[in-house]
Amino acid sequence: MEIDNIEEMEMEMEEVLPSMWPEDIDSDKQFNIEKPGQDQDMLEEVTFKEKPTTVDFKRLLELTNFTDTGSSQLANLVKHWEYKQANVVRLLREELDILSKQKQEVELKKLEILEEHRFESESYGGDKRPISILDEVYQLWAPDVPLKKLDVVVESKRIETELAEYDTVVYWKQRAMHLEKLLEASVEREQILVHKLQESIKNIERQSSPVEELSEILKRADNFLHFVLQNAPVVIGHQDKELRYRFIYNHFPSLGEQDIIGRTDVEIFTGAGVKESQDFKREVLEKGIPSKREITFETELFGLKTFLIYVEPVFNKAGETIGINYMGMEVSDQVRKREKMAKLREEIAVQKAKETELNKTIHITEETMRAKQMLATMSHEIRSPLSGVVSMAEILTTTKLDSEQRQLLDVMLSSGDLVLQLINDILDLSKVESGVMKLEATKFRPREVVKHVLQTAAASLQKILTLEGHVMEDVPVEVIGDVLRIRQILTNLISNAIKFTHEGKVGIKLYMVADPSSEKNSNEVQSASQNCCNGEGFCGNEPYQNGSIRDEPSTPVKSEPSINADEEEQQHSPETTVWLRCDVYDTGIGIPENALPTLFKRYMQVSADHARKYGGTGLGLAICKQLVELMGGQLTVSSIEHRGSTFTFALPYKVSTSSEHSDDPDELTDMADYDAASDDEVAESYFQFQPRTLGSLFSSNGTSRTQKLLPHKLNGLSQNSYLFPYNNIRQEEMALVENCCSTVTDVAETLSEPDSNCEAPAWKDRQGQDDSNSRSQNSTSDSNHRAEASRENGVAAKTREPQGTCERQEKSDADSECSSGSSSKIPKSTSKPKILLVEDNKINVMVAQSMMKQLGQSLEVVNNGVEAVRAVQRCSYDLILMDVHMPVMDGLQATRIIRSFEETGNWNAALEAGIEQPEPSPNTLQNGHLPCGKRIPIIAMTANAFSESAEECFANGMDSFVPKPVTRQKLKERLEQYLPDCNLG
Amino acid sequence: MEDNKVLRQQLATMRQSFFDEGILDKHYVQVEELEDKDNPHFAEEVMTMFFRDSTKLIATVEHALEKSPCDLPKMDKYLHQLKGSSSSVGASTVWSAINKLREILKDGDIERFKTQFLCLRDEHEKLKGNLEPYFQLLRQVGPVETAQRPM
Repeated sequence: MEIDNIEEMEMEMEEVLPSMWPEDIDSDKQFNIEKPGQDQDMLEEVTFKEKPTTVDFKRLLELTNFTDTGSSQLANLVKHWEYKQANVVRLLREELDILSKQKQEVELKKLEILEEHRFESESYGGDKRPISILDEVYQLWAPDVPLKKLDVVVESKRIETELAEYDTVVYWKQRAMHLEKLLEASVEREQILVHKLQESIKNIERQSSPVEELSEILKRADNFLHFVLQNAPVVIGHQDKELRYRFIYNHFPSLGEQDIIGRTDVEIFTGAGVKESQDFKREVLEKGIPSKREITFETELFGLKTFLIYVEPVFNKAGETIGINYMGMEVSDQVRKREKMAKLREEIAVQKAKETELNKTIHITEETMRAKQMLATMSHEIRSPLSGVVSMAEILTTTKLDSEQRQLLDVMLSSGDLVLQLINDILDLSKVESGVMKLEATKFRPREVVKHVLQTAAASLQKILTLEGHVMEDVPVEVIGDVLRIRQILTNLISNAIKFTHEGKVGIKLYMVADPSSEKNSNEVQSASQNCCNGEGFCGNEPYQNGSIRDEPSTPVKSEPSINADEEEQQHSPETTVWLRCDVYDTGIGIPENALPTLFKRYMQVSADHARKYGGTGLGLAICKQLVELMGGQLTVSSIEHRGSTFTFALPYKVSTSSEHSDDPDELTDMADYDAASDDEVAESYFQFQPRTLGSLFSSNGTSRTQKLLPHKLNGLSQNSYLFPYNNIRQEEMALVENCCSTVTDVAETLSEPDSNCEAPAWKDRQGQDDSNSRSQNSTSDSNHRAEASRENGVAAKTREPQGTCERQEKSDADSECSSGSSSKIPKSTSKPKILLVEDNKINVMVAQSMMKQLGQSLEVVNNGVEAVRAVQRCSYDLILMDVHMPVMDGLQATRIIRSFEETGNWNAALEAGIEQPEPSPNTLQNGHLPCGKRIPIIAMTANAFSESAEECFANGMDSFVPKPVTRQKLKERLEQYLPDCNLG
Repeated sequence: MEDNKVLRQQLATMRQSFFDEGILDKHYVQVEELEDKDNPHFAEEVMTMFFRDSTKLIATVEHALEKSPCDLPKMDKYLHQLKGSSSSVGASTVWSAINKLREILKDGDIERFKTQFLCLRDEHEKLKGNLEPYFQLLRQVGPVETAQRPM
């Protein structure tokens, strides 16, 4: 009975209450709990630590009373309980009803039976009707209480009283007896039922304590919560309006209840993040909107941890916030991972960005390099054929031409020279910029360099200008530096100065300065040296020096002895660095101030007018600046318009105390001449090149040459005075061209012959700045000889004097021989040209020979430089193909020796190199043992095709080069260039 | 004749493979172009000479390597010679191996030099191993009847 009831109850409860948990807490049934029997078992297996929860019960009560959720929860619980109780009461009532009904029925039956027995006729009697009452009773009860079928038996009680009055006594007696038994049973049952009813009521009473029921439910829910939360890194809490903890669940409690309840976060913890979380909670409290946030705490209590905090406001029934619920989960690991990921992603992104950037840069750099290389290569490629054109044009000048042809040819030559110059400049610039340019350290004599530069300039001077050079006596005799480049700078600056100066003078001043890193010092020295210079050259300079870009302050004069003392000190160490400062000054048109900033920029000229008027590439100064900077110095300029300009650069040089001969190649030939000069090496030098008047120039002709070469000693200040006459070839020619007067036709012929000597075609094609040495060498060889003659009353004895004089005397003969030599070359071209191949590699020889054969030429082959020199000594060749790298003697040296012979007519250089003079062969005798003998074209064969080594070849006197491995096409090109008359296959 | 054609085809394939593999470059073509009726086997002669030369030079360098201390300038000189001839005949793999060798030599790194030297030897052997059968076959096939380069 009891069991049945409960089951029934359960069934009905399920309908009303979907779960044990109040509805509004788990509207989504997160907390569905299973039937008690089963989960009780499950929960038994789990142990709980119930400690973590800390509850302020008073607050809980408040909450349940004042908040909607709280009260509804409570109401639900009560409702639930009430319902349950009501149900039980109802059931009990029903039970009672049933029982009373049964009792009534039984009474009724009993009455019926009594009546029956009293009034029934015979027809009622008999066994045919056993007791049918019960069935009826059952049927009556069945639908409602089917289970009670077996238990309820109702029988009548008192039947026995009137039994004797019917039929037989026995029958009635039996019947009475039977009925009595039934009655007894019925009564017995009734009693049992009553008893059970009472028992049941007692049970119900015992069960129905509401507190027990509720706490049971709560405990189960609580257990579940604990079970679920037992290992979760979760803190759950409730805080009131003042953010004081009223409830906290923390599985890993580090504080006791008394430390938390009733206090705020700030009161409990200290450290980073606490304030933030407090503020966040307050914010939620104020806004009334639930919110989540990640907060990183760093507290003494639990170290550095990140929590994801969910805070929701709690409202009272009036809708006011009265506190917050908060839930925090520790996500430190996740945050760390996330941050790591973010960092990685960022790094990857950065890496990628870098890579793309790098790729771009690489690409750009490659492009730039390619472009530069391309420019260099192209320039080089242009230069080779162009030099061919110019050379041919120059050869053409040696032939008989009428004046118009000559004029045209001159224009052609000067244009060609200009283009060559431009290409050389571009090559130089691109070399400096791409870092390919290497500086050489060679020993050289600064005095000689200054002198040569001025000589060269004087040689091509077309104006009435005085060229002067001052070299202070403190300048060492020999220094180490890249003489080619220094010469290039000087030449460039001087030619610039000459270009922009119409009258007055142009000069170079060279003096020692202290290391310019101490600027003040250098200024002192500068002014000191200025003062000690002779006045003439400086009067014009001084005013505009003050207006220089650098705005040099005029500092007190430093006494010269101290500089000398310095120098002496430096000279004691085996190798010291000295700074030589070089001023290139002029009295020209000057540079307007606004043009100064762009002066050193490429392709920049002061104005378009200037460019038209003076021409030039606009590269010269840019190259100078780059070269000076490459050598560790600085190029500056100071200028006053219409008064003049001064370009100044100071460079460091090494000084060696050993007194070996200079490496400067162009001094090889001049060495003998200037031995005298080196006697007073430390002396101050002053060179001046005085202009001739135009009149004398015009009046002069070939016959009066010796006259005008007479020395004029114009300055008495210098200890050494070299006077160089103007012997400008071009000038005279130009003058002729300009005037083009009919009267000078004859004169032109006579003039042009000696002036454009046979060397011209050979050196013209490598006329670039880098080979300015050879140029000066060539162009001055002539002037040297003349100068020597004019120096007879000058400084010192000259070893080569007799020769020089002799040469001068023989000049006209030599010239005529030259011209006849070149004319005799033309008929010679019908025969096969003699070509010498200097090559040590057998295979290369074989290949080259075969190629030549295909080109219809034959070759003589020698295997090294010495053999080459010997071969040249033996007989003359029309062309030499020279390998650069060879054993015994390389191609460069061999070329230098051959060139030296061509220029001097002697084999001294060969002797120096240890090659003996051969027996003069009839061949050489025939050709005339002369310095102005024809210049053999020498073509280098080099494996390093880039311009660097090409420059080297040119610098050593080679005319062209073929990159190795040689191809038929390239060989053919060169042959066509240098042996235009030979018939190539 | 048909046989010859097949052989010629084979030769052409072989020759092409040298260029494809980069063993030879255009300078070999230059050398080939130097052949004419006076000199029908010029390429082979040059190559034979080259091999004679190069084998000797490689052996010399190898010998020099065994000595201690190595005479680096001398080795460089040999290599330079070898470089010159290899570039002339268009033996590009050998040439570039020599270039690398000379670079290493500049640094003076003997150990790396030794390793690279083995590379050079391998490349050289490879070239030799490729070209010798090629020339053998070439001789077998006989001269090609092609138009002569006009002189």
